[in-house]
Amino acid sequence: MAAVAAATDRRPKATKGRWPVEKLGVGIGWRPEIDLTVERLPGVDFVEVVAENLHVGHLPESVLLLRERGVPVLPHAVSLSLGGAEPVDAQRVAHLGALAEALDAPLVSDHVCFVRAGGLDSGHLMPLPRTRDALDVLVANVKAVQQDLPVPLALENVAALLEWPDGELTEGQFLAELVDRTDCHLLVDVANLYANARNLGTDVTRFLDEIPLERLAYVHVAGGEEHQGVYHDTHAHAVLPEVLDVLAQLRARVDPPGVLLERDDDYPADAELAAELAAIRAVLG
Amino acid sequence: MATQWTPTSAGSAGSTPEPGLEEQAFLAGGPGRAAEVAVVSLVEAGAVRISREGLVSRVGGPGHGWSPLQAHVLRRLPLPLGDVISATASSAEAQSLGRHLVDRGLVTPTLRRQVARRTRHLLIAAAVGAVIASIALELPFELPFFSVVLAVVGSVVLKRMGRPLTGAGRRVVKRLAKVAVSPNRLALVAYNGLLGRVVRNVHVWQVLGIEPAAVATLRRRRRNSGDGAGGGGCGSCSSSSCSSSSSSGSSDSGGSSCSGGSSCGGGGGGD
Repeated sequence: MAAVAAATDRRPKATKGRWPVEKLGVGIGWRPEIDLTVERLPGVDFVEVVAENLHVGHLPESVLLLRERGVPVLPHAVSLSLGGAEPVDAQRVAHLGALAEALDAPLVSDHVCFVRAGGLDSGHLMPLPRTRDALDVLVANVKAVQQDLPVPLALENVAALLEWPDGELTEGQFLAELVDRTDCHLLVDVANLYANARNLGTDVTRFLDEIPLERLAYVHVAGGEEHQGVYHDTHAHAVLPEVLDVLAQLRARVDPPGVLLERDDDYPADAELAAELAAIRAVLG
Repeated sequence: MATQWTPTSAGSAGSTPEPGLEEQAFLAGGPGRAAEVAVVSLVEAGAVRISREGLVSRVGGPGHGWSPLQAHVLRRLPLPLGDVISATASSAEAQSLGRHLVDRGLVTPTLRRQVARRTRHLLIAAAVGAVIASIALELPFELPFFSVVLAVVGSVVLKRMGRPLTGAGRRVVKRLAKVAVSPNRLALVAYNGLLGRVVRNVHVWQVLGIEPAAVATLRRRRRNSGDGAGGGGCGSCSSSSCSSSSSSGSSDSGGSSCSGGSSCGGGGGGD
């Protein structure tokens, strides 16, 4: 696979971020509960694993099998807390890097957020204040992490239920400046984008206009549901047509290197997951 | 839905309806075997999936119309295969199923089994005592002779009385044995257990497409629970009345132990 070839042909760290991401195709999040489903679903071009859930020395048989088939496996971290004011945990970065090498992954990813502060772990991907000070902290952390990673880093927009006051930048501007200053890639979650549009009034069109789409690594698609007037990005429900509409808006601007379906709970039947992947393919054309 | 499958070719016991497959599994292999049928029937119905590593998880929504054992399985998920079967085998629902089988006259009541076993032990002890006493006191030969004959005859009768299954229960298992062939996947599980063999070198779990790593959770559970390889089964598959009729070489389902003195209606199978 081209993506795997890109991973094996390691570049110097200082320039690696400038390379375009190879075509990944359409994929699905690998989870232990649906390992056989993921293996058997037709047309799965790549998968993503939650980095914190895997041990480098004891990779699941299913993941190894996928790698043997040549399916790219991308580690996706949730705990680096890159937007936090505290230094990034070096052990977590080392684990992510080791996992990338063990899986021969073309890139790794985490979120534009913070998950801990003052020794407390929130258990959630907390949104950052979109201020220049917060951006400086994020940029410094990202640069430090990139130095210790063997492959490029992609960063994902999160779903938020609140916005910090006194924001100086739109979300698109914030991400664009982050990319410009760190050479990181973008992982655009269209479900998060839809959630923010619905809950916070984020302008999807403006977001897509402002982010550097040429730095797009891949796209996340996921389901959610409305509860008491608030849309929750649950990853445990079917993908809404409205989320696919956001994907279509993105597709109208760029042919994304990859699109990945995330499902983290209440796993449906194999046929339903296959249908969701087919719906994604239909949008991509 | 496969949850209430009944072997149509097996005939029926007079006017009494044939027990459901979980009941038949209980008779053949104890509560652990019934738990295996509950899990596999849910898989067959598309309500749960078993991962490569043996994690059993629900598929989709809650569903309805499940048996009490199936409902218990669904409530406990996600769990490794071995753990969910252990938990289900030792559940109140499994105990209730055992009592139901006693009420239907298919399983020997625990008290009756205990009385029969203890009486048999007493009879043997008395016969041994009589022999020793006759030798020590130089009593007539007839006394120890008849004591031994009485003990042997009584022991055979009491042993039969103390068997886990009643005659009707053993007949249910025999009928199950006749339909426990490959197309009837649930019957295969009910009669042989997941770790049982369909033919030489082919296990039931292989026929079902369950991965070896998942099956390993069953084996770990069996080791942990101390069930012997030949143990398990309050049904006649573990007794002489059925072993000869089984051409499949039935084996323990891994933890469905209700032999070895415990009650069929009791727990069994738990770690």
